[in-house]
Amino acid sequence: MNRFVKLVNFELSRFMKVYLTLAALTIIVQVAGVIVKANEYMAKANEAINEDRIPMAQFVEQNGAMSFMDFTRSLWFMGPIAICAAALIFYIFMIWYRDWLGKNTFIYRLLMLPTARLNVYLAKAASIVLMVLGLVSVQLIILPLENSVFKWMVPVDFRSDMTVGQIINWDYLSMIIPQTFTEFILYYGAGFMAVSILFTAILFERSFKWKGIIAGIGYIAISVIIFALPVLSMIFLNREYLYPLEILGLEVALGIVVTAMSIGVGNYLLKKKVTV
Amino acid sequence: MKRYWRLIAIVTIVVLTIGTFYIQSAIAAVSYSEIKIEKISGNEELIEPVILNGSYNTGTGMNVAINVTPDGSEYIRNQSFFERIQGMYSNEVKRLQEEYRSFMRGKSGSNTSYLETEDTLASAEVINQSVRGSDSGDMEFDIAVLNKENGEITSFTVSVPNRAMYAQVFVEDVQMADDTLKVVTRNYSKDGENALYMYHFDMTNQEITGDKRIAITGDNGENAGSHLMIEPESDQTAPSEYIIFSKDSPGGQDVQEYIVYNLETGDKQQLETPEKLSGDALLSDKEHLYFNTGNQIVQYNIETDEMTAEIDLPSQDTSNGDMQRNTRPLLHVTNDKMYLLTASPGKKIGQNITIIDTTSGETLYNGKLTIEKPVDQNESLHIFDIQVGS
Repeated sequence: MNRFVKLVNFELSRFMKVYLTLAALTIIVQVAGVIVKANEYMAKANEAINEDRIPMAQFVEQNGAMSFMDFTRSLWFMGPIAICAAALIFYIFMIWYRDWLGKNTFIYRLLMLPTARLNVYLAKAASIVLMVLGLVSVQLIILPLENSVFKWMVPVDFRSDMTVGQIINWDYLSMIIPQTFTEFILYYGAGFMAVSILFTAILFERSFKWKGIIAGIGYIAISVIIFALPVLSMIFLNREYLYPLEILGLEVALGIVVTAMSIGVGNYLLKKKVTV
Repeated sequence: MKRYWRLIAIVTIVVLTIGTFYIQSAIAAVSYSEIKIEKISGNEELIEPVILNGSYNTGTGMNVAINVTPDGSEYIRNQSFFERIQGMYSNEVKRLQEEYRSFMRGKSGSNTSYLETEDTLASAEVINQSVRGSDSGDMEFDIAVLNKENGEITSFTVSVPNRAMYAQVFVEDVQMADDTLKVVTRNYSKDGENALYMYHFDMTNQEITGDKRIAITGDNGENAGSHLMIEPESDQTAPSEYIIFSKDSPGGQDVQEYIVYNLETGDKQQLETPEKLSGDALLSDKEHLYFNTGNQIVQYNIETDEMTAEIDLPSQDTSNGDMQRNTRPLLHVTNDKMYLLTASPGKKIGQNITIIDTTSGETLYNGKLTIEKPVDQNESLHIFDIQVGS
């Protein structure tokens, strides 16, 4: 356990610089975005009122009051999220491959540690999970701050207020910050399953090179099919034999099975087959 | 310990933030205002089983589905995850799913596909329809009858007669007499016609025994341009003797004929409705048909051809065209009681709900929808269904 914690800390430290940059980027770009968007709207409003002499109420009726959603639907908000997501997805692969690159293949030292090699696998998985959740937390923290900046910049008559709860109910945000804790566990649990499948595929490649790539892709396909079995059978048989709650229970069970299978296969590859 | 600061920092932030967020959102579950039914007069007990399905517009352009009950409102978004994934079936179907779990397994029909009597539950659906209607070679009827007393289920599938002709077939009503299941469907032909058909299914021999066209409209000949509409029944799953449908004259004029089809005898009879009932028929309930004349709801008995009750509606504000959609009264009739929802003129939230005894015409209850704290001047509420639980 101690080793595991040390390894997680180690993995986090390696990535910390990039990670903090990503977090800072998100904060800065999003806050700048609120300011820019609010200014845009107010400039339009000022122009209409002062130059075209349109009364305030009419302007609001014609163009609509500004709501926080105008900002969340813009690139200023979604851009940083997309960049962070892309970076982390990229790092799912790099967290392994960086150990093989360079002159002193670090993986050699990692695998020689007096600890179960499974700890290496789990530490990398845990780090990814923590980093994703960390960014989600950053977003959750700055959202009310951004809402306050928005309220500060746009006078009350021009804006349509929303609570943070209502903002999060919107499409994309509700995927990363689901409404209920149950959904949170389900979504991120599925995410963890996906990470473990990818890790095992990577290890296939690292064990068997070219044949490994094919094995890796095959492994991903098998995992997906197993997980999607209830849904696939419903499509093929053209009937819905299971009630939704039953499907949920079945999928959770299958998810656990696939995750355990991935970790097991990954562990085996790491112990016996990986080439340094 | 000091060297682990990164790990500790991230874990702490994550746990605190996400934990706080979900705890706080569990506490403040309703971030939208509560909408209630407030009593103005009458017997409160009568409004207890009523649920109003509607949609609430926040004024910022977001519509959220809502169920309003006398005790308070429930926003569909705020329901627990498990409640939400159970699907948007009507209360009737949900109740049937709970009571007859294995019979209802795999059935995806709406209210109109089911018939429930004291000792049987029957269902008729059309399966294997392709979504776009282009390839319907496999369309079949899926028939099932449950004998409630001994739990026996008889089920079979039969191809839809002449199925190559149809783009889509919908089940509009299911009735049963002895061992014969009668299914009324609306069939959309690939060449643009649509017609109402009646099919008979013999449950003992498990085969289709009757196939008859009741009415047709569509693009060809004398029926070009006319429309057929079946009057919705207040209680779709209960047995009834009639199907009532209205037919526009060709050319789309305002004149509508109402035709009563007696499922037992196969008789078609055109209703001679008095002048003032040229407005919309709202719904039918056994032998009564309810019309909206603009100022009144009129109850018309199709067996005796008489207007048996007239109920005055509160004055409707028909000047603002945008409100038209919201000012059409909503009606539900069950157990000799009429549940009427009308909009208050000029107000976007604040509908009136009245319960009237259909035999005596007496108003049993009058209530009003109120919103706790109006959030935005642009918000509005649109109710589209009244459900009365048993």
